[in-house]
Amino acid sequence: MNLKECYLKFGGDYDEVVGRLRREQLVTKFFLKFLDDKSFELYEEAMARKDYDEALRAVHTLKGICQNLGFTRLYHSSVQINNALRENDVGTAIRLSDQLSMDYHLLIEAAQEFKASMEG
Amino acid sequence: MGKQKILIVDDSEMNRALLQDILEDRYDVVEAENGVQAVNILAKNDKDFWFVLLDIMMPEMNGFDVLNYINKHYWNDRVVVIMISSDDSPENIIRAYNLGAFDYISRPFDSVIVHKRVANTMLLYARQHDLEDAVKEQFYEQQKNSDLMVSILSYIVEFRNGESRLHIQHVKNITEQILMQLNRLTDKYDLSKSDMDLICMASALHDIGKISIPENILNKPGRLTPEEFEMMKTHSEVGSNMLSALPAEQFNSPLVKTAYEICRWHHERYDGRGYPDGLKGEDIPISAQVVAMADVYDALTSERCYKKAFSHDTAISMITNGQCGAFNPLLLQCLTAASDKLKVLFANPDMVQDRRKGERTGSKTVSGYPARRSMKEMTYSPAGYMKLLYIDSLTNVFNRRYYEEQLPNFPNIDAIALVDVNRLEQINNQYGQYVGDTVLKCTAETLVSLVRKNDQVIRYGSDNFLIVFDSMEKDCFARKLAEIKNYFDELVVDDLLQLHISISIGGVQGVGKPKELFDAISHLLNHAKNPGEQLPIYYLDEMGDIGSKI
Repeated sequence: MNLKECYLKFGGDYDEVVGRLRREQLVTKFFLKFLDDKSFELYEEAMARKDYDEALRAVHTLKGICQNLGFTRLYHSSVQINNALRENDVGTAIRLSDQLSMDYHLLIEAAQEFKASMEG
Repeated sequence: MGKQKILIVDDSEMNRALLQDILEDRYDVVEAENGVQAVNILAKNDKDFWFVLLDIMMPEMNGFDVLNYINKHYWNDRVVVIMISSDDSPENIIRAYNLGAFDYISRPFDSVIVHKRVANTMLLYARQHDLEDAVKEQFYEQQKNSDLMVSILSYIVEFRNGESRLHIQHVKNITEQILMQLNRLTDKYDLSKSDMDLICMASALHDIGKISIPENILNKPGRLTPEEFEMMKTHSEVGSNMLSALPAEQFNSPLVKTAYEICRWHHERYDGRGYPDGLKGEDIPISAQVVAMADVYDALTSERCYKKAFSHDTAISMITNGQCGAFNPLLLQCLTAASDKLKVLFANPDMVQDRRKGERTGSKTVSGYPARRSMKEMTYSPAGYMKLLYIDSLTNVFNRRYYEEQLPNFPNIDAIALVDVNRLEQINNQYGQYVGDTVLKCTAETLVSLVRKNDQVIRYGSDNFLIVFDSMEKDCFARKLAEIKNYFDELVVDDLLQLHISISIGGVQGVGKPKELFDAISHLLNHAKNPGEQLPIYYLDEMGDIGSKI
């Protein structure tokens, strides 16, 4: 599986990100780096302990990364939660969290698959 | 020069790494993961110029807090902030601009745009900095030039009065000390730093009117007759009239106005019994009051043709007891307060430095002029205006004026040598003036290094030097000339295409016949010679009548 197919699989915009960052190696490097990023976990933990300030910061960071790496689908679900939490609308945030989690794990699975295919 | 430093402040490691990747090939990139780390880095490296890419939403200390911190610590002139805005929320961007952010880049990052933004901002700042430096430099140059003009002018006046060499520099320094105390003591006169500088500078002109006083009165070693004293007293009015005769636009400049006050009224007395106008108390401008006091202090502590020098303590008590005129009680307090400083300052004249030059370059100056390097090696280093008048600016040895004006008064001159630098014109034509100048400098330095301490090297014409020897026997003179000639034959000027300096050397020797020596040398100087031809050596003692003919 190449990077473009991978992006297609989790709903990302491969052409946009390569056009913007100019080098596929750079995109690949940061895409794989995302596997180690803790923003999503931070978000889940903060929500669990009802620390909504921390949750907002975490989802905000996640959103920024999605923007930079062209993770379109995950960006959309994170931006909605970001906006909800900013307005102190915790109910909406909780309701949208499942979607965020699904999109996140879809991406992570695709990324792991891509990583395996690169190493294999 | 090292790479420009960029500080990336973002709580997301991914985002920092991405920016780092985009920027690290051209910049020295440092990362901080929150505002607290960022301000610590900026505080620790407070001599550096920083570019900061600053995220807004961060734990611990957010982007706005960082901007506030920068403002509070006045770092704006060395820290330029470009915000990273995640969402295009205009309120945040406007708020950041209001707090002093220079620009913003928005996510998602486009590597080309990030590069361009940073590079353009940097260029803009570099240009602004260069411009500021240029303006400062220009201002300083102007200041230096007017300082120099004032010095030259006042030295011309002092020059006629051979006994008060350092008087002007002293008065300036004392004036400065008294003014500092005055400012400490009272706000009555409301003197700004630039007012004080102006008074110090103008103080150098206090005696310009003396140019009109005949030399026999000026330098009379004894008491002046009442008529002579009346004549002497006119100098304050004459000086002020010289200034008021300047065109209006010049007379109205602050420097000239202050100089006018000082020239005219530095012999007024606080009790109204001074001259020329008999002004009393605060009718006398403070500039003139201060300079008057400085003038008296220096006159007391220096030796003059009509008196010996008093000690510092005697001078202070004479002034405060009212033995030397009547002064403003406030100024007497200032003098007492400045007493310790003055004592130190004038106990060792070398410590008197031009304040501004000292600050700027840290170089030591003697009576306001930068010490010349090779002047130190020449043990006969004259001070003050002597340097200005008698030293050749290119080679730092004495000039022709010195030879003509001062040397005839020297005892024990037993020989004079003439050194011609051959082919100088050709060297100038072939290699350029700079090389020619280097040859002259090198020749002068070499000559100085080859003669004794009491011998004097003079640059007489464009391509010749004279060496005036103190007490020297015939054989010794012949040996010395041969030694100099040989030394130059071996000498190669470094870096200059293996350039040799070719000299012709000759001269005249005769014990106890200074006039004949000078005549013989002027004969030699006027005698046309072929290029490269060696010069004759005359020994007056062996020539009998012939000697007096040449």
